[in-house]
Amino acid sequence: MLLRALGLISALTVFALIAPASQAQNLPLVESGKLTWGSAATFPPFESMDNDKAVGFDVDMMEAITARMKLTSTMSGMEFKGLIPALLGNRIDAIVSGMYINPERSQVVDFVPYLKVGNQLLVAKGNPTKITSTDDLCGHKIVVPVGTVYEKEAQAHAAACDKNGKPALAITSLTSTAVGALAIKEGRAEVLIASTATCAALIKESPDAFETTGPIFENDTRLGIGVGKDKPALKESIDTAFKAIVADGVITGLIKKYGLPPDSAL
Amino acid sequence: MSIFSPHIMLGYLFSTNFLNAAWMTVWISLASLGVGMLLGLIAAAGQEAPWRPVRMLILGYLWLFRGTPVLLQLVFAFNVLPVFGIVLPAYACAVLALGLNEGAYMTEIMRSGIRAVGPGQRMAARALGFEDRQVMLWVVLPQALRIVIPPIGNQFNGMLKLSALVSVIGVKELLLTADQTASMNFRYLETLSVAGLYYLCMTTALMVIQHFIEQACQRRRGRTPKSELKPLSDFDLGMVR
Repeated sequence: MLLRALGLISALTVFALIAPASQAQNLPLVESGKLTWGSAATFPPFESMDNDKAVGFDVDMMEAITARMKLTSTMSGMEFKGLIPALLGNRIDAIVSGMYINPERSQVVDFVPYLKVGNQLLVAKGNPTKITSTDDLCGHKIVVPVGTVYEKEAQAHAAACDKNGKPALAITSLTSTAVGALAIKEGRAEVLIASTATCAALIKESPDAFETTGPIFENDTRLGIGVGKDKPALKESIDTAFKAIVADGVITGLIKKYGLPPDSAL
Repeated sequence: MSIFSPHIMLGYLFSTNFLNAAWMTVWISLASLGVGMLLGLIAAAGQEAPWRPVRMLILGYLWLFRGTPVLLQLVFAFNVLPVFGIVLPAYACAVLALGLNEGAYMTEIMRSGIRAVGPGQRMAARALGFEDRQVMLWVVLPQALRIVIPPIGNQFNGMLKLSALVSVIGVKELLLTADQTASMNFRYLETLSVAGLYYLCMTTALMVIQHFIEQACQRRRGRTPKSELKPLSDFDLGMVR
């Protein structure tokens, strides 16, 4: 009896594994008919939550891209640090979360680049600690989201401070840029790094709390849609849809809508 | 990228990064448990006190801290207290929230220990001329302590693992370190396994320590009656004249 039950269960499992593959003839999707994309909605203006609903540049762009692909756009919200494991574990089809393309990530994920951004330092209003560039970071308190390029960059700065015998840079790693901004508001940290657009969005939201300081740096940082390396067909298909919406002027429209600098387009 | 690389894992296992993180986990757990035990002892003794306001206050504390998730308490201490001008460093928030939460559970454990000491013990102590405070300190608490060791060991074991929650407020303990390390090179299997191994080592050590403490207490219990008390003889009972 037990053996028969086990046999049935394993037969069903095998069936369940094969069934979706035979349904989606062209694209290997987590859920057929849907493009499930992972995102950490804590990074305005690219994605943030507005009462229960995800809004932002990435959300609108994915609507346009999936419409081209004749799929439904389904966002799967999670913490930023969990995005790449989710993609590697086949829980999502793509990552669209204002993710910076860098060499380390490119080793495990394929990217469709979609936007260019620069970075800026965000401090409390009035710049009480008088930080004016990334050269002034030693001896200060920086807050970064876990698993981001900013965290890596802060660690590099901290190492440089140590090496040059300057006062240490204290790094606090929190779950998101939004919580990081809160830490600055509360005086728990003094500075954070974010994209120029994110800084602008945060300042717009609380003009009395924040200001940017120093020049824009690394202004050729590219954002990418991440796709698993084992799914070249899916990447190809997203790429084609993206090129189509660029040609349609959708991206230019979104750049205007979210107040990004005009040279953000690739 | 191979699925599993033992070299990378061994490298992490003995890296200063992970050793520091493990130390942070132990430190936060010990400190929180210390705060919790102290609070628990005070609150349990307070519940036995004859003053109603004190008992109500303690009841309110238990109600609040056992009735809300500890993760909420942690984030509250970190993100909401600053609104009232209290900006504590992350590790202090961690010990505060975990300690207060632990204290609420410890109160119940301590109380059950105190209640488990039979009323005859108190009566006997009173008959020997002990005052209320002395009865508590020298008769009830030593016996209660023996009873509460296993549940306290349980709590400490839970605390070691609960301390992983403080990663969300940026305390660099094992889980946050594993997350950070993995986000650099995406070796999730190795980094999380190393963190898991550290937790296992700690909980194993804890089990051994608890075993020894229990044994030590048992020995003391076994010795006392033999050396101090003799069965009453006919002479004692006044039957021999």
